[in-house]
Amino acid sequence: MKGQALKGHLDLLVLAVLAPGPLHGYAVIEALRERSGDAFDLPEGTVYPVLHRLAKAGFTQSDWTEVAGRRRRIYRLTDAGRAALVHERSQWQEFADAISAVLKGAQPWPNPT
Amino acid sequence: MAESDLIDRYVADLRRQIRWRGDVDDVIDEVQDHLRETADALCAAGADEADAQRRTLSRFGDPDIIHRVFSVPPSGGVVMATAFTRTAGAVAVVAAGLWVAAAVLKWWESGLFGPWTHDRFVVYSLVVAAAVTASLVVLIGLLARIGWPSPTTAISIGLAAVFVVASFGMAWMWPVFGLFLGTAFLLTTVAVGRTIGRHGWLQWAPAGAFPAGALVFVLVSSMGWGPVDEYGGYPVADAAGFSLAALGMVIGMLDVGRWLITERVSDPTPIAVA
Repeated sequence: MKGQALKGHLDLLVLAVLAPGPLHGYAVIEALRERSGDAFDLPEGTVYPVLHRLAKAGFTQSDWTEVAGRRRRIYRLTDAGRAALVHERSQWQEFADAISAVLKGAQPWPNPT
Repeated sequence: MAESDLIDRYVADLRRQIRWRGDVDDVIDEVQDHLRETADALCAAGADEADAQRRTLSRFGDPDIIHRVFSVPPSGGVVMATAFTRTAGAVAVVAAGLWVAAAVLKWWESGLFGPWTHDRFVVYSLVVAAAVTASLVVLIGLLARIGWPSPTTAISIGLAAVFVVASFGMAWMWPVFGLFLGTAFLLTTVAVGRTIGRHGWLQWAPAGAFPAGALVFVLVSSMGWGPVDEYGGYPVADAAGFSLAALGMVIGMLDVGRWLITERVSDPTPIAVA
């Protein structure tokens, strides 16, 4: 799936992969890839501004640690982030249900019968 | 060894492009950690180091796209060179030409070389209006280049717009309205320095042009040099002061124009972020 299809949903997806516990950027991207079954094909670098934006919004907090001589930023959800995830997930579910309901009633035209 | 520098070069280039960010060190450390971890994983999977680095950078994204997504500061503005800022650079060159023409016409309509006529004044006023309008476009281009900082954007455009409006009928009041334009460029130039760290003597020329010209106008007038016109003014002081101001604008416009035109442009087209 190309990045354009993810536009508008990446914040929710990043919040979701951070829900189980703190992760650094690389692990967030790996989790997105694994949990989508490699369906999400987007430049890895574009995820970092999302992480920064979520931090700016107060949905995540980050701490620095050192690994293999490199500084590493670890992100974790805040209470506000968890609340936002619950809300956004609910919104998405309503949207997905509505789309499914419409598609379910669709019939091919002309009707082969 | 040369191949092992691919990531270093990429990171150095990114640092150069986002050096205006206050958190540039943190961003660069984070990107570097990601790239090294990716390359290490690929090497562990069997890739040689050079191939691992190439694939790592390919996965991270096209440099132009990455530059774009990292060029959006927390304030939301897009701090980068675009087709618009390049166009503003071209307009700056045009503005420089218009300021030269305005200075020449100032002497022509001053009454020092032939009689003063209303028609000459109208021609001069129209060229001044065109020069100020073009300079306003350049100012807007500079503000666009640094992400429309607030409140500098509104104040600067407002001040410059006053001179644009005034120049259509009151171009003779340039020592007053020129200060508005000078203040607008002063605020914008300070913002440019703070935002992207561009510093140089020439970039202050548009800010200092009209204050310097107004100062010369006041000094020469107070000394009473040259003939006195029917309004009791001093045409030499008027023309000399305006010419100095125009010269400052020419220098400043050419400096800004050269910078904006030569920057690599990458417009913020839709990207794969929410």
